[in-house]
Amino acid sequence: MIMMDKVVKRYNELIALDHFSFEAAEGEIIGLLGPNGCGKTTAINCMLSLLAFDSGDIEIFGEKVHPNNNSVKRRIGLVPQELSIFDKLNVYENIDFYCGLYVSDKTKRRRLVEEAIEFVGMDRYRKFIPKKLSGGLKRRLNIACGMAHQPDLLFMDEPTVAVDAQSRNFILEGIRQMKARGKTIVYTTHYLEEAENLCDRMVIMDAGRNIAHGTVEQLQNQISTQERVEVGVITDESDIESQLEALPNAVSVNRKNDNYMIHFEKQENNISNLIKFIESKDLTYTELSSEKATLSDIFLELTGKELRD
Amino acid sequence: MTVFKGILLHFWKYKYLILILLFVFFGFAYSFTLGNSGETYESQAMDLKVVDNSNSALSEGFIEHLERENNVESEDGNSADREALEEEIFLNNSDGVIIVKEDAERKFLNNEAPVETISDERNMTHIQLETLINQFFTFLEAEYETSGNMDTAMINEILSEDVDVQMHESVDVESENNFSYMYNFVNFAGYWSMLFLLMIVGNVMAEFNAPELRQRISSSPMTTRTFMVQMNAAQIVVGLFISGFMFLGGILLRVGHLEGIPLGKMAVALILITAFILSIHYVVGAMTTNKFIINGLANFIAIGMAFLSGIMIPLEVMGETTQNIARYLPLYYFTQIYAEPDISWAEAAMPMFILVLYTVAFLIIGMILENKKKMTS
Ligand SMILES: Nc1ncnc2c1ncn2[C@@H]1O[C@H](COP(=O)(O)OP(=O)(O)OP(=O)(O)O)[C@@H](O)[C@H]1O
Ligand SMILES: [Mg+2]
Repeated sequence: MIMMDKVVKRYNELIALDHFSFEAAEGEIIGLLGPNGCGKTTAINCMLSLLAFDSGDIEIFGEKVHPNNNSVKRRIGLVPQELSIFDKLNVYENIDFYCGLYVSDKTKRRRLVEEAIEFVGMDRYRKFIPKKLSGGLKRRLNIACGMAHQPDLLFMDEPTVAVDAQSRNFILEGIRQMKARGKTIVYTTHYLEEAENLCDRMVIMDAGRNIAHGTVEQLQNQISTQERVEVGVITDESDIESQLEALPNAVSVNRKNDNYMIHFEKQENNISNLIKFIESKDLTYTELSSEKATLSDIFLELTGKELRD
Repeated sequence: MTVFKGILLHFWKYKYLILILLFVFFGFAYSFTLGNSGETYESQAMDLKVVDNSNSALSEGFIEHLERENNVESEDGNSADREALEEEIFLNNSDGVIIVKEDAERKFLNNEAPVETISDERNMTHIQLETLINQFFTFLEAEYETSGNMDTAMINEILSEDVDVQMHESVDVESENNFSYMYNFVNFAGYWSMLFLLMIVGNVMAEFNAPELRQRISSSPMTTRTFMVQMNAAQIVVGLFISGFMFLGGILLRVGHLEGIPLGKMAVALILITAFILSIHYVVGAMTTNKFIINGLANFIAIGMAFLSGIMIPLEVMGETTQNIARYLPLYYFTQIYAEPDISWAEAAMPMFILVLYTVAFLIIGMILENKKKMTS
């Protein structure tokens, strides 16, 4: 459905996309993740031919993208990162305007606009102008404007920033429903958990490059950390850290006061080994928890950066 | 039609501002009517200044004629400084200055103008003064043709009776009056729609042209051409609506006083000035979407041009340089389209054409700027 091959985009000296390749299959939700300035928005703008790129190829629906390729554009929707709504038009008028760029039939459009209003849960606010909407509601309106015409392919550039948890779940549920109807969604976000729950596959970007991609499991297999165990022990021994590091499969240990975070490279009896070790020292543990490697571990290991909101 | 409708919807959001501006406009226009309507018009004593360069029997008789109902201050021809005289009019110290030419008698016999007047054309006393002067020379001519001499004393005697009343009621004065009112009305309407459209179209388009919105629209299947066509169509509809509303309003205010007015040419002039204003706006819009700058420019351009084009102050009283500049400004040609009550279409064609040229020139500048903007983004 989308095929982006070794695309290079330069802004003077700065290389925003560095031989970036990307593929999306029909009917999947694909996440585009990466720190600020890594080129997510740039990649989307190139795919929409809003930006000219220096080299490489982009095909959507099997056709080369081009600013005048309207048959392709008609099937695409965009929820831009920056709010693009008209300050003077109310909620209904805003959605109707954008929908009208794609759908000229009035009756059909009325139905689509109503569906979009319902999709973002803004029925109460339909007559409100953006000035009277909260930040999160504006975001929701921005989403409605991008998807009202029910495109086959929808780009959503950080759509849920500043949206509260409840409406976010509402929106994510809506996105899953769109997928169920066979739509393809390209989704960028800073919320890793959200991406983990929502996306079928993910592309991790850094400095304009595609550094890893695949399902969460595939990504987990690409890094050394497989399990993270946090344990609280009170002891006077100063070399407890190196002793913990000597445990089978342990990769690294980080200390935070009396808590120790141990990364294991395999998921095999790590907890029971740890408990045996603590008991052998006649110590007791105050707390103990274990977690599979998460996207943020993956992220940290692959990019050396933490990804935060 | 989405963009067309979207822009009209934006204008609709400015409906109160539009209403207020129209209301204020008609407020002004109505107050003109009170001061100037043909029915309430009565001759009043004017403060006149006469510079007598001729010192002849004719000039003496003429001055006597003027003095009958007005306050006249005579001045010797030698001490007259033209600029000082113009200033008198400009400062409203005097309703009119009449210069009797040196060989006034010979000029009169040769059918040349024996006197010259300086007065503010938009003032109603201007017409009264012209009428007053015409009376004298019309009678003098009649007298000369029948008897072969210029007996000014006899003419003054005739005129001192109730003839002037008849003159004031004559159709000529009435229609000249009508024209003068409508001329000023259309001048004002031109200025007002300039301010009005630059402000409102400027603001609406600044909102519509915000970069993130334009980018979002570019991601849709709407082509740039369709976008431009719909955008311009919406502006033209609004522009014509506003100037049409003013023009029809002006006609309604003056029903019954429309004789002797080149209404067709005035309508064309208003249409052309609307097109011209939209072309200015196109240039401004291509330069910036900053509302503050747009509003500032709107006022600057509208007031500046109005001032320099003789809409606010008569051109005749301005310095020569200013007058020369004014002759290059589009608003000047706007006023030239309907400058005379009996102007023919052939005469009006030239200023119309020049106004169209201005519009085209601005459109081309706008396109160049727009293209430049596209290339840098
Ligand atoms: N118009 C521009 N001119 C110059 N540099 C630009 C321009 N737009 C983006 N950049 C640069 O290109 C790089 C990629 O920007 P981009 O907006 O694609 O990042 P992003 O991944 O979307 O970031 P964020 O998470 O903050 O939205 C950044 O370093 C940015 O500074
Ligand atoms: Mg971005």
